Amino acid sequence: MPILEAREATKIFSASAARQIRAVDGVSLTIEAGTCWALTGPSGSGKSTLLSLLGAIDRPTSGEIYFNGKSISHLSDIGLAGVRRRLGFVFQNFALMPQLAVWENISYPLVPKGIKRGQRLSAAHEVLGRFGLADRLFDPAGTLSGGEQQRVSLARALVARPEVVLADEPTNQLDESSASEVIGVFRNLLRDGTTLVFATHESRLMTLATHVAEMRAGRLSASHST
Amino acid sequence: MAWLEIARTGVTSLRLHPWRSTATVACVLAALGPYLAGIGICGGLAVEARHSIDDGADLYVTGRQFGRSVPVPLEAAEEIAALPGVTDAVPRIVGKMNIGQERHSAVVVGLPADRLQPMAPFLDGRLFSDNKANELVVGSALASRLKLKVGSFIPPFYQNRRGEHVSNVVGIFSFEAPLWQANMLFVSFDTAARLFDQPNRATEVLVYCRAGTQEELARSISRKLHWSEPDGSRLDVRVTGRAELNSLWASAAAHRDGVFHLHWMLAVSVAILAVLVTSAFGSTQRRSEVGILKAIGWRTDEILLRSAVESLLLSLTGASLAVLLNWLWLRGLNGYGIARLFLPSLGVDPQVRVPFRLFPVPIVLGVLLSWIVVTSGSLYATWRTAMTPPGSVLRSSG
Repeated sequence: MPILEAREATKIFSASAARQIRAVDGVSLTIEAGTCWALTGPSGSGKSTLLSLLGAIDRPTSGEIYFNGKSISHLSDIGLAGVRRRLGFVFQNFALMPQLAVWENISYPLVPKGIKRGQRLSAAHEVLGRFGLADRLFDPAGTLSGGEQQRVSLARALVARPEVVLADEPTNQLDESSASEVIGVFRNLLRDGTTLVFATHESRLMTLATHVAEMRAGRLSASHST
Repeated sequence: MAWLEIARTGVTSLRLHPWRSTATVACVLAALGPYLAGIGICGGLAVEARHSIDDGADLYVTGRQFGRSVPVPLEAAEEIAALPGVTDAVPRIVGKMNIGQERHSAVVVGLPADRLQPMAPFLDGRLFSDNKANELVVGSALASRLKLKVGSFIPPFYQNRRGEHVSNVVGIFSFEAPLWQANMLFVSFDTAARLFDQPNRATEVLVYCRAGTQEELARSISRKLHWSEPDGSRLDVRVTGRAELNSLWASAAAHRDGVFHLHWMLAVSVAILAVLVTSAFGSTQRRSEVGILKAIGWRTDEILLRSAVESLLLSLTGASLAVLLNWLWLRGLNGYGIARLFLPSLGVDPQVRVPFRLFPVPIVLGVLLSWIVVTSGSLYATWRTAMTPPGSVLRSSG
């Protein structure tokens, strides 16, 4: 059974009363557990929007998204929150709370699970260590560089040990060595059976992918296994 | 215990919006501060009034004409003293006069010196002598306004058919004395009688009686005592007991409290608007936070709990500061500047201890209403945002 599936998923944004943008247009995609998908394509082709639909961050205008065989397109607020807790999402703009300490940002997905402060701090320390930022644990996230914030965002996505990690341009702002660290972490995740879906232009990250889906103008123009 | 961990993040979120938090606490302070001051002063006045009524006479007897209280002949005190059950009957004169170049209004009380003896610990100087004319004891606020000291003379204090009279200040009530004496002048009964040129009358007779006889005695005085005026008209008596005084005070206090509550409701309305405005200042950042929390798996009710805890902490902080500042202002600074809003006769710098008693009920009520004020500014906006898909929220908040 696929872990994530899009069936004729369409997302339309209203730019104005008269103009509508079909960011994702009838995309169907089946993602098996333990695989690694790379979404490629030019800017504005709909990669980020498709990731949002697969990550339950947005609802499709039409079509269905399935997680573990169940449609999530019409789930209640509580149901969607339950799905999001099993996924890890890395935003292109990091989506951190700049005034909060790095460890607090990372550990926020653990709060609704009732995990105590000390355990959350340990978990944040452990996951941040994988990205070489353990010494920045107590710094406000806003004081970090773009690349560091990107790694904090990655750490937050991983801290709750999700079944699927969805990442939007995860190495976009990283230098050579930091990107290598991230790729190493992703490789380990894959080895552990975590499903990865990311939008990227990074050729080294593409080497991890078991499947590549190319998007153009909101449509899936090509999809193949590597 | 997930809710406990979520609630704890409400504390953290205060740090996220320091300016908004400060502005909200300031709104709560502005709304709650004057209310607590007013209610605290009302509470203090109520306690002093109750003590004053409890420590006073059992019955107050005046004449009655045209449905109003009028003075009684001096022999009324002797006639009442002879009634069974009466332990003492003391004539008293209470009248108003203007003194000083600025014509300050003062209440003059004439009564035997021994009746003021319980107030002696609050006195700088000494009590007036019943045998010496024109000695007087002055309330602290009045003494301050008139710049009087022990040993000062007031030339001329009054003028009657027998000419002008210079009076000597022999005592001044201290700062710590109860409020009711602050604007009064105390003289012997005879001096007061000369001052108002009413040698054979008292404005009232204070009646002290044995326990349990008060009601019967009141009926008896009303039934038996009446006099014929020189013009042949009849002068009846009016008897006022403690219960009636208490109810008169309660009615006046309720009116005063009502005015405070009305003003406070207006202040709360303004505060709600102010909190809404301050909320709007940080709304983009707040929307972004809600979007992030939703995206990482928080439910709407969990986000609302976090927001409610944050609001509760802000209102508790504001209310605690309001209580503390009120206490400091009214106890430490003796209500400098603010007491005159509630007791205009005291002036900017009260020369008497401002009565202040803060009971738990208004504090709890204040905290509760502050919470409603703060919550109304944030909870609805948070709920609206939390019900929107996080993708839309994050896109719109940049």
